[in-house]
Amino acid sequence: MLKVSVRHTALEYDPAWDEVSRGPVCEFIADIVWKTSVTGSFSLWLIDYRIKRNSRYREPTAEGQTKDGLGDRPPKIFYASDRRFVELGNQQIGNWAGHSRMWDAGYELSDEDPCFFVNGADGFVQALRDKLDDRWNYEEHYWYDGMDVDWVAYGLLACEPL
Amino acid sequence: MAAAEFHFFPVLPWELREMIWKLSVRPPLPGAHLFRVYNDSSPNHNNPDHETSNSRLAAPQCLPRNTRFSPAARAALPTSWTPNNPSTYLIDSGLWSACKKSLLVIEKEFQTPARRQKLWSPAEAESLRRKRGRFTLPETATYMVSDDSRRRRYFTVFPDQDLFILQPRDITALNWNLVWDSFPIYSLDAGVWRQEHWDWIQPWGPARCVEGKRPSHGPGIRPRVG
Repeated sequence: MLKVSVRHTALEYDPAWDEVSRGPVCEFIADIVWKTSVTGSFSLWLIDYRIKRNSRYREPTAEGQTKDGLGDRPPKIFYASDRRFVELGNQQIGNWAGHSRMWDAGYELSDEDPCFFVNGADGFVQALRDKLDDRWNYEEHYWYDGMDVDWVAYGLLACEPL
Repeated sequence: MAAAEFHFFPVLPWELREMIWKLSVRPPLPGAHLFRVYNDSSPNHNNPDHETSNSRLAAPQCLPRNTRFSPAARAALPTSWTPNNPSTYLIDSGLWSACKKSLLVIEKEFQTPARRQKLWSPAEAESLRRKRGRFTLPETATYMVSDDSRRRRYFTVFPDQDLFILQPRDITALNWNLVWDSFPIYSLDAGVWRQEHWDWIQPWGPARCVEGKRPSHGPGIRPRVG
């Protein structure tokens, strides 16, 4: 009997991709989505080694809980021998000085120019997700209509020493 | 007993040695494994299972801990299986080849099908998951690579739960066929060797996985195929 499993694969994020509006990296994003979107239960993670925990972050009270992050689900964590790779949720990463989010991006990006296609590591992951949505919404959905297929998932990991 | 007295490991009581070997096995948590991806352009490349891909997994390039990451700094490093490599597969790799007793312990801990000689039923798999705390079914596969003509290394991974970090030379040219070949999402029932999907190679020479066989330590242990 065949069973479907989840596969977790990761690539190391290149800081050169922080601010991209056109060119090979954008084509690369479209290419990744094109090649990974029909694979079934597959997770592609980007590891940004610059991301660190924010020492100023405080867990919100029950009243202050928002829908940011991962909801009720604990983060996915993978353990190497002397470090671990931790999943980051939406809106959990800050990339300007003085922010109070859970994770610090380790770099600052201008948010004045919204035309960047990629804007930091979390922007890169979001670009992958958007591209995937576009593909399923407008291009390929009829191929798989009615099939029980889990889609590919894209996510961001931080690296923490143990 | 004098505190300064030194006891050689082989003469320790079996219970104590077993305890030490068990403590050497990776914890029951999702692991992370690093591999470099490179293109095998050698004329000897001949694998009918990889007709569309000649990419191979190889020893990674790992920066020392707490070093600021950059692709250029990483690319300048030598490739090696051991220095700075934090991969989970190194934690208990030595147990496969240290001695017969360590082999027995790691086979028992991972409940390898080669040792068990039969497949897992869903009820057995769930029972084991609760008892041992592992997140996925014990579908571990062990791979054999050669550091040189005499040494071999055995890797254990849990494809259902572990993270595989790939280091392609040119990320825009990553051959995704390799990923699909190496990490198939469709697998047989728990307990079946899946190493036919894997093909490890070292920078200095090819090394194929040994399909359906377990590490051998001479005539004292007979290979048992799951």
